[in-house]
Amino acid sequence: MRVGPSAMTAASKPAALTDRVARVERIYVLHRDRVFRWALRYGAGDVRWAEDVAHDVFVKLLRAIDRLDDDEELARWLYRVTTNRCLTKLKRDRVRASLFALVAGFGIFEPQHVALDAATAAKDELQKTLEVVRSLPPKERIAFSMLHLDGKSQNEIAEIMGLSKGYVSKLLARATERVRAAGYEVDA
Amino acid sequence: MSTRESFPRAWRRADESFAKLRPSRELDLRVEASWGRARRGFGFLIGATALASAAITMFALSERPGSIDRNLAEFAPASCAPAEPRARLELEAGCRVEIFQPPLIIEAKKALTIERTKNGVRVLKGEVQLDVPELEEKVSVFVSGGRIELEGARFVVEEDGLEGRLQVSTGRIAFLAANGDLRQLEPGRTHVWGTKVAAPKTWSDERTAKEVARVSDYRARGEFDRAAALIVELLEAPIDQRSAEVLSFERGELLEHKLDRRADACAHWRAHAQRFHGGRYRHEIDAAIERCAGNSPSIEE
Repeated sequence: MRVGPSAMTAASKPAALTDRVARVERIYVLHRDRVFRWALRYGAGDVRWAEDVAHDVFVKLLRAIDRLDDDEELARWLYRVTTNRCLTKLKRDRVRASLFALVAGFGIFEPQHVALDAATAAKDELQKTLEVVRSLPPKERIAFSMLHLDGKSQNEIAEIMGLSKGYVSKLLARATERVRAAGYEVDA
Repeated sequence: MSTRESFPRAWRRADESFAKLRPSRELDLRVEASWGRARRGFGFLIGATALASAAITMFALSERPGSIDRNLAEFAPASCAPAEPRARLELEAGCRVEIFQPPLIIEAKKALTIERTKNGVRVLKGEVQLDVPELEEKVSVFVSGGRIELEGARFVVEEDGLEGRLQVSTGRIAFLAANGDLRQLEPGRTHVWGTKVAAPKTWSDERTAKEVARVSDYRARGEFDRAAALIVELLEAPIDQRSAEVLSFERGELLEHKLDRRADACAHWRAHAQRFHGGRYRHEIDAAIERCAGNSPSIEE
C-alpha cells in the first residue's frame, strides 16, 4: 500500500532551487543561440566575447526568473539584459585598453578576436564591415545595431538603453557620420 | 545615385553569417546555482566568466602533501608553455609543463588538449597527470564532469568532453554531487562520470535549431498548443538525449500549466518518467506525478 503525497514536503526544500534552475535551463535551451547571436553582433564577431556575455545573461536570469511571469516579458528581458551586458562589457574593454595604452605606452590594442570560419574570414567585405562596427563607440554601436538590424524605433531604443530619445538621436547621427566617413552609405 | 555600398545591408549580411556560429561551451546552471551556495558556505571566489560543463564539485581533503619530483619538473619544448591566459595547448604524450601561477605540474599521458584559465586549467580532452603542491593557494581543474579545487594531491584525469575518469594517486578527494551526495576517494580509487545526457556543443543539425527557435516563437506569441505540438514532432525525430529530456519537460509544463489539459499532462509525465528515469528533473517529475495521483484515491493497493 502506498500512502498519499507526503513525499512532496520532503522534496519541497531542495525543489525551490532545482525548480528555478530547471526553468532557466529550459529557457537556456530555447534561447541560448539567440542571445549568443545578439552578443556576436555587438562584439563584432568575437565568439569568446559573445560566449561570456551569454553566460552572464543566463546566470543573471537565475536570480530574476521569479519576477518574469510570461514569455513575452521574458523575451523582452533577455533582449534588454543582453544589450545592457554588452554595453557594460564594451565600455569596460575600452577602459582597459586605454589604461593599458597609458601604462605601457603602446598604441590602443584591440581585444583578440576569435576568427570566424576560414571561408567567411577570408572575405574582405566581411572583415571591412566588422572593422567599421568595431570602430563605433559602445553606445553608438548598440543603438545603430538596434535600429538597422532589429528594426527598433528610436523610442524603443531609448527605453531599452535607459536614455532620452534626443540622446539616442545624437548617437545614431554620430554613428552614421562615422560609417559614411568609412566609405559606406546609410540608408533605410 | 550613390555608388557607395549600404552599410546596413553589409551589416545584415555579416549578421546572417553569425547565424552559422554556436557557442563552444555549455553552461551548467545547476553548478552555477550550487556554487552560489558553496561560495557563501566555503568562501570560494568564482570568476564571473568561469564556465564548466560540470555537475559535480570536488574538494580535496588531503592529509599529507602530494610528493612532487621537482627535479623532473621543467618546461618542456617552448610549444608546451602557455603563452597567455586562456591559451589552449595541444600537448603530445610525455610533454611536461610546470606553471607557477597557479602552481601546477602538467604531464600529458596521452595527447592532451588543455586550456589555461585564470585560476588553473581546463582539461578538454586527453589524459593528464596533475601535481599540485600543498600551498595556501587553491587550484581549479575543470573537466566535463566537474570542477576540482584542491591543494596537495596528485591524480590522473581522463576526459573526452562528455565522459571522464579520475584516479587519485596521493591525497584524498571528496566528491560532492549537486544533490548533496558525498563520496570519499582514497589514493588508488577511480571515479568516473558519464554524461550520456550532456548537451551537445551544437544542435544536431541546422533544421533542429530552427525548429526549436519556432517553439520559442510560438510560446512568445502565446500559441502554446502549437508549441506543444511542435515539440512532439521534434521528439519523434532524431535528437540528443539531453535536449529531448528538456523539450519533453517543456511539453509537460505547457500541457499542465498553459493549456490546462490535465489528463494529457499526467499521461505525459508518466511517459517522461519512464523514458528519462532518474534524469535531470526527477524531483519535479516526482512532484508532478504526485499531483496527478492526488486526483485519484491516495492509497493504492
